[in-house]
Amino acid sequence: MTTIEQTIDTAIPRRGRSLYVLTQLFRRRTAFAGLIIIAIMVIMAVFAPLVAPYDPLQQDIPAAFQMPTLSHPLGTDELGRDLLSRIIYGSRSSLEIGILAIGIGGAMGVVIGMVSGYFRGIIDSIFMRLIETLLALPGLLLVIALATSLGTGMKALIIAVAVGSVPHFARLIRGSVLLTRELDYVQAARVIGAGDIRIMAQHIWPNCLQPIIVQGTLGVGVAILVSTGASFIGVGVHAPTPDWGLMISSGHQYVFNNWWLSVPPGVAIMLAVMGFNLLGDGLRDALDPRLRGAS
Amino acid sequence: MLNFVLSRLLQAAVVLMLLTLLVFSLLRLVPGDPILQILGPYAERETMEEMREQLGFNQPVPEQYVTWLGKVVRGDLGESIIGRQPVTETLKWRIPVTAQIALGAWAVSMVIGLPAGIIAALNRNRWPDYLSSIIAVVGIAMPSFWLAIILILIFSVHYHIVPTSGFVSPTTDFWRSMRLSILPWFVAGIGGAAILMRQTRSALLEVLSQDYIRTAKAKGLAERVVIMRHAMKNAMIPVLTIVGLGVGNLLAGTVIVEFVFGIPGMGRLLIESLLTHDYPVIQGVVLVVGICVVMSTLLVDIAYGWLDPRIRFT
Repeated sequence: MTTIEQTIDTAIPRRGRSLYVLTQLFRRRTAFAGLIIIAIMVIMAVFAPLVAPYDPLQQDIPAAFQMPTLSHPLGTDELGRDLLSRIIYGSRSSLEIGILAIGIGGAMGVVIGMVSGYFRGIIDSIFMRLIETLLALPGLLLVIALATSLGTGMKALIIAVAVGSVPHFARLIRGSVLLTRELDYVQAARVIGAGDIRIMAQHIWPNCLQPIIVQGTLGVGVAILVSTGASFIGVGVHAPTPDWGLMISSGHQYVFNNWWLSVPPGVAIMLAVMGFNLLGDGLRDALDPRLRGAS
Repeated sequence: MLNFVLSRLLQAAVVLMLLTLLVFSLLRLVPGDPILQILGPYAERETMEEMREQLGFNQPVPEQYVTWLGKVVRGDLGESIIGRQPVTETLKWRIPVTAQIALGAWAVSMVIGLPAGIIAALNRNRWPDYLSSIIAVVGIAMPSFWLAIILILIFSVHYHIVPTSGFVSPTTDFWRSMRLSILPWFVAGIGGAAILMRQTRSALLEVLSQDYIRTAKAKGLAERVVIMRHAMKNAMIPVLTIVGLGVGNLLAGTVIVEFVFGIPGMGRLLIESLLTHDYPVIQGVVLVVGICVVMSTLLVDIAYGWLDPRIRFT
């Protein structure tokens, strides 16, 4: 990682580095497509009241189970609510859960990984056993167990997904720190009397930033997938909040005669996850010169 | 080697103890009361207390944990507080169901993922590569619960090729069991196939650019021999990690599949017991899943040494 950092350092002036990475990113069509998908999702979430044709909670029982028409482009659900409006508003819960959970989980993971890799010894052993413990209950199972224990709902789901993401960040950062702490410039900082906090914040942290950005972007996609899965099972977001997982779940009962109830929310989840995955992959390639040209 | 395995087994035991302790403590923090689930909301206070004492829930949590652990060591996972059946009996019946789904899904991911990855790597930047990459990107992003519904709509509701849901043991009716299992296998396996394809492709591409492959080609070996004998063995090392570590994801995937297809496996049992606060059952399922995941990780580590003798066990 350091050699890469150094390569960029020597090749491009510091001020132009962000621009350089952005240019690299825009050159990759798949990453650009990912960026566009995410941008649309963010616009949908922020401007939902302006974009959505109807109130997502407004019921109209006589208009229930309408097939897609001009007035309801994606049809209506069992309570006559407009599905397009619910999908537009549903982007809010997915983005909120994805970004908050990964923000919280990432922060926790970074602290654990940094402390574990920097101090090593007994602290490292304790943290790593804890991380292995969390990993022993895979992804969705851990999230389901935690979300149920915390009483379900949006907040519980955010905490559960956040905890589920901690091990991945912690291991990634620990690996980076273990490599960086032995490098000459870090040793030099130690020799001239820099404290542990200063070394971690000023000298090691910048080296961990690239993998965090990549893992964070990919992590939001995973978080959306897992959280909609939890909502589908019934341990996530509660009705009547517009949520893609919940929409598929409630549509599931009637889907045999009304296919449009479950199909569009699934496509929305797939596109959102794909957007974050494509952008994450693109960022990894753009930030790592060794991967440039090898897609 | 023996020391390595022993120390890893010890570590695994510690991790499993921590996992059960974590779940045990968390469950006691759950807002709902299992006693209310058994006796109903109108139960008298005295009856509730009596029941709590009978089940040992009035003891301090650490004491409850030690009692539970003591029983586990002797092979007793306690009794379901809802169904009043021994947990080991319930698991004995549920594990084979989940195993059937998980193994089938594993086979699907291997049968699709490995060849697709190899074909993509050997046809780099040509249409088979692009096609399999697009399928992989979609496969990873697709929510399995949604895919399950779509496949049921197509193959069960529209074409009547397979039944919509349910489970039959292969020993009872083999063909019906297979027809019922095809969609769950595919749904639970397709995500793994996509990941495996991507990993196989990149691992094989990396190996194919090595000097020893060029040497093998230069000395006139057939392309098939170079790939199968020289490239594949080394390319399989990172792939093995994905296969081994994928056991956890596979088990997590079966939860959704069991839920959508109405399959009475461990995943469904876990969701049901979580919603009814059936502590002993939850702990039993978590322990079994934990053992599977921890053991698969250990097996991957041992297999590393077999595939690459340069890796020393320390």
